[in-house]
Amino acid sequence: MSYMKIDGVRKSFGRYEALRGVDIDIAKREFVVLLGPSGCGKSTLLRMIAGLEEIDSGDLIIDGQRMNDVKSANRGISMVFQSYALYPHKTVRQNMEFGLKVAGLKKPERDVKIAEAARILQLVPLLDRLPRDLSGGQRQRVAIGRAIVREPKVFLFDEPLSNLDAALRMQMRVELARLHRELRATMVYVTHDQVEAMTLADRIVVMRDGLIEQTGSPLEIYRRPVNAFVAGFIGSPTMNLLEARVTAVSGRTVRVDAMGLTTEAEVEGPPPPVGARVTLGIRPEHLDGRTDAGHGPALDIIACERLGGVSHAFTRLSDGTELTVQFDGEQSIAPGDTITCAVQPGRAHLFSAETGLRL
Amino acid sequence: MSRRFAISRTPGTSLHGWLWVAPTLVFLVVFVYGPALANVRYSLFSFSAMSTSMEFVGLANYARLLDDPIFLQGLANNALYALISVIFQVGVALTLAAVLEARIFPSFAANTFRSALFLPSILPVVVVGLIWQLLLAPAMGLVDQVLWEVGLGDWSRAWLGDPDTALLTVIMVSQWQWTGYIMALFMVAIRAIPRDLYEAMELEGASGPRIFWNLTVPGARETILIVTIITILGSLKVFDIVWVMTAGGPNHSSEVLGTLMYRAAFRDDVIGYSSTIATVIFFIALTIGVVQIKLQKDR
Amino acid sequence: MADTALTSDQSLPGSRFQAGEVLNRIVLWAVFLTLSVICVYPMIWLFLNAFKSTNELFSASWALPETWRWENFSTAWGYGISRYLLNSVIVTVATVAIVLTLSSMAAYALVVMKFPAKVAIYMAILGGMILPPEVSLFPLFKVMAATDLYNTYFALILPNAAFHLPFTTFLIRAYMVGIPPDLREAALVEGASEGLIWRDIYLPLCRPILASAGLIAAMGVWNEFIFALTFVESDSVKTVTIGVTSFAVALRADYGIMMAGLALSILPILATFLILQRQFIGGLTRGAVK
Repeated sequence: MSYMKIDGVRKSFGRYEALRGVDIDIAKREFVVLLGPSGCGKSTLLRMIAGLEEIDSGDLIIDGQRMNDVKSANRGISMVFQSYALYPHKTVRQNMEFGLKVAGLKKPERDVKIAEAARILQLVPLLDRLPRDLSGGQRQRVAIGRAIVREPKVFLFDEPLSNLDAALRMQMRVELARLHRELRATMVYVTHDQVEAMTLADRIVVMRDGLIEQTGSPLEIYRRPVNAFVAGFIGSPTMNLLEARVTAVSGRTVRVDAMGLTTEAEVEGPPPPVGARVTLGIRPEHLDGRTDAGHGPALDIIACERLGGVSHAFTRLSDGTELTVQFDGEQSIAPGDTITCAVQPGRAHLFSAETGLRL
Repeated sequence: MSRRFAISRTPGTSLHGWLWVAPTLVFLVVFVYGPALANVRYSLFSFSAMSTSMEFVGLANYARLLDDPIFLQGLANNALYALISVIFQVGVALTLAAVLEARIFPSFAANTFRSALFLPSILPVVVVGLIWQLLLAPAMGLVDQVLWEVGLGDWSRAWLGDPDTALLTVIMVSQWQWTGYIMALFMVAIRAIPRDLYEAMELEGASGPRIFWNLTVPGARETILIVTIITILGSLKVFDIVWVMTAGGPNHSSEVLGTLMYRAAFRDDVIGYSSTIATVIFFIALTIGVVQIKLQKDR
Repeated sequence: MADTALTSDQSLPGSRFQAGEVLNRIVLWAVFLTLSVICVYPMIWLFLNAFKSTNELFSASWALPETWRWENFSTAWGYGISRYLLNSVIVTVATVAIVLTLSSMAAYALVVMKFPAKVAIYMAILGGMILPPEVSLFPLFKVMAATDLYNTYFALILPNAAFHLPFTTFLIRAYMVGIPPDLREAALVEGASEGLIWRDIYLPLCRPILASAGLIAAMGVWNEFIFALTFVESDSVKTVTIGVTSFAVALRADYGIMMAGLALSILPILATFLILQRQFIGGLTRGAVK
């Protein structure tokens, strides 16, 4: 049952087409993340939902009502900006109060709502401070508080965590997830950070060049990316995408070889002929690296990143193709070492070399 | 991220914005542009303030201007005014500003000098004119008394009563009033030049004048251009200081376009002719404005 | 700190340099001291002589008064200075209020809104900066006479406002460009109208430039001469600039009282300047550099 519907939405700025026909159905209480690289149109889409950009064509429907020509304020949305957009000359309380005043709420009602939001977000001791006296994380919470008090039908977030440092970002991620559970609210969240998308979303919408590439739950997208772009965009470190050649086909099982790295994969559509060139996708965590020889092709380690629990080795095949391999953190590896590796069975993805689509 | 494509900040182009600029535009049309255009029209007529009919005379008023030695004198006086003002308010003021910003003086001294030199600019021009009239008055005035005291009694003269000195005296009073103000403007401009550029030059052992020419002047270029334009425009429309100190006299020696225009309209009641002078001011100002826009575009 | 260290290092190489340096400094001190005296002394001279009798003035105008004739000031006050000052205050306050309101509205629209002919409109507003008031003087006089505005406060307030609008709009617009557009968008999403955003968000954030622009306009209006000379004639509406000229003419013979009058007319502004030098100079020079 769709609560918010984006139907064939398009937008151009002059000759540049920012959105080239986008459809999304969002259910009530769903947390949807719009994910994509810079310039993919995700922020534009969010701003169109907010009413800050006009919709050239297509429909925006929220809770059964067509919103294209409705003023922002009457769309039942709240928005949290990347810059927080707190009013610098108003205290935390006044920041949260502004929208309520505009809506004509009486003082006692406003106070109740502000108190409730302040409690949820632990802002009570900060209510009389000015934004400039707050830390980044506190400002972020005020911005969310300002959105909460209006009790919107839909929350919109525009890269809300990108101005925070790594530790705080993690903390706010957890906080946002808790908030979503607690408020049972519908949220649309824009980010270019796939970790935020994976951890927060009920559903991810991956966008590129004004089009939707794939929509699905985080695990669906991780496990079954529909094309090489999505495959490369989700997961950290990014998926290895190698040029490979089909060496054998039996039924839907295709055997491929990329510079000595061989594996089998099930294809969904018609299998490619033997000898065809395909793109082989393997996540670093799905490669078994060994320090002894004979396990697979030889790889020279160029650099290592030790994260403690796991280590990432950035390696090169004999022809110079780069390959990232994940090791257990205990394994002792170092740049200059030569390793061999093999693909874990059933973990390879095959994409068309021409179109990038999943085979 | 995709902000850079968000050229339009809000939905739609609407006429709503016009309502917001309309009051300002109405003011400008009614009190600035409208009258200025009416003035150009008036310059083609011959009439007096109280007359009910206006006689169309074409360009006769302009022809008359060219034959009017007083007008030509006034024009030349404006030019001299502009020239001396540019020398003082751009050249001298910039030099003074550079010295005050060079940290040669302790900061309290630099601040005091700045305030002292700035002081005349806050006074009404009229009051400045009257004070200097008194200061320059023969016998009673401070200037004369000082000259006698230091043995330069020969130099004593009726500064404002002598056709040879009247205009120059008025011009110098203007410089007295405005040089400090422009200096303070330049100090702001110089302060905006990155400090480490100065330090780099000092480390290389560059001399003060060298730093001035190679760093301060290019760094304050924009402000220099604007100040030059403001100064020239100011000299073009100068009126009050002259009106108060000499009223254009003696014998029209210190006449400027402003005083000529005013006298023609409100004393001699030859409105068409007055409008013609005002139109000349209008076109000179317009030319200067166009030149400024061109210069700024070239940057 | 580091700067002083650097400059003192700088003067090290060779004592020959240092001698020149010292001489330079002495000359510069002398120049600036002289200039400061030239700029400030006329004011002191005016105030000292305002206490003198005319005879005393002629004998030695730089000396201290023999007796301090405070009555010169009360006499001058009695000639109507108080009324002129009041008129100036009324005209200045009204003009500045109009100018700040209208130009901040125009600047707001020019910065945040989209509408047809925006660039042309901005140019038209800026163009007002180059036109000298002289050009519009007689036609304005005609309008004033025809509309009964002549010889009222409005005859001064309206044209003064018009001639200050362009620069003020320019200053405020330049400042508003620096306010993040997100603030307005956040407010729009919250349901605020443009009017409310202008009043409740942009104006408070523009306070520094409003103060500056207001001060610049106030100084201009307070010192304005040609409109006051042309559009009013009664003492009840004359501003102080015109007031002192008529006053000076009336008191040609009585210099002490005349100087007391001049001194009184500039006292308010002089006192403000002396107390708030830094703010004053800062305010009047803001906008010099973009």
